[in-house]
Amino acid sequence: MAGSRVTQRHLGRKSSHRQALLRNLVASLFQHESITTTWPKAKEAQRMADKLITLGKRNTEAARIKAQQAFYEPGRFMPKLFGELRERYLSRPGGYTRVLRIEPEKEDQAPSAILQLVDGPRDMRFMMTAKTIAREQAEGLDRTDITKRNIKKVTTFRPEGSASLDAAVQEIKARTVDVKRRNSGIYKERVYERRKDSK
Amino acid sequence: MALSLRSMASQSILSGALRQTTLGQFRTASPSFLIRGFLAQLLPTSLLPWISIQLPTLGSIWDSILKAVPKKKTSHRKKRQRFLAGKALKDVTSLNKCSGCGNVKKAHHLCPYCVREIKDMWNGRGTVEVEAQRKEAREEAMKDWLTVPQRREANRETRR
Repeated sequence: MAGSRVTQRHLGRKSSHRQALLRNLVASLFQHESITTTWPKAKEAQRMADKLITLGKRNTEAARIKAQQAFYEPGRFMPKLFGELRERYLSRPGGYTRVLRIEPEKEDQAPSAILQLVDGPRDMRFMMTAKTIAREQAEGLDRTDITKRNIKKVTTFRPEGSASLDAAVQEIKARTVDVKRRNSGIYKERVYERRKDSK
Repeated sequence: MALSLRSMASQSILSGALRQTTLGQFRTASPSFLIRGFLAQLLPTSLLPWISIQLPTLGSIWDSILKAVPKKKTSHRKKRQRFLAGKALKDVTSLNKCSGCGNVKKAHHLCPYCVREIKDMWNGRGTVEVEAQRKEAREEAMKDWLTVPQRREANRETRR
């Protein structure tokens, strides 16, 4: 690798293993709309997912063949890519996915991230903005520039963006959160083998 | 007593040897030959091997056995301190407040409490009512599980 530009993160895998991992990650993303993984994996999967959605928007025979090669289960994901996702992103000029850093999920403290499809039903930025607005209204705070920018981001291309944001704010306000559960819920996924002699 | 005798003997040998070399008839002979010849005349034969044995000196003992070594085994604590020097955890100073809940969070990262809450919303969990219901259901299941031995015993009796 000396002297050449690294175009892709190797993720500690050989080419075939890496390709399989990314295909699986992208399939999970299209299935669940939002996945939580390590930050480098999320960034790599993001590249692949964006390119696939571009193929979906192009919607030519060549694009179909190319997209079909990316899925292990084309029958399961091709209709969504060339149907729902294509329609959702038809007017959006790129940037179909979003990577948000979160606190480490695993006990090895690997940097973690949420990878999600923008404007989907599991849009974390959308929900965080709604939560911020709910807190503003409850505590009478001024709207910050960042919040204004976020509102613009999450409503511009979303169908009936402002209305759905208001609905989300109302839903958050109506909830009585189980604080004990929320505060105790930050646990680490095990990655190291548990020692047999440990209690 | 023996030491003094030897030293006296060696003095006389040397002086004798020197005297002998001045004489014309012994000029070609080696000094060792002269010493041995002289000794044969001067001393009893039982003392002769003392001359030929090469005893180790103190310097050679020092080189072969005694060297600078650690006095004690390095303790586990000291070893770990040495290996981990300069690798202490750093303070996290890039912190700010979450806009969604007001808690302190890492800059450029989402607040873990808010992430948890939003994921709970999507999964239909996290509210006081839902969690109370789930707890109730869990306790019911636990009760059922606790009665397993009793039921097993009852089954056994019916079989008898």
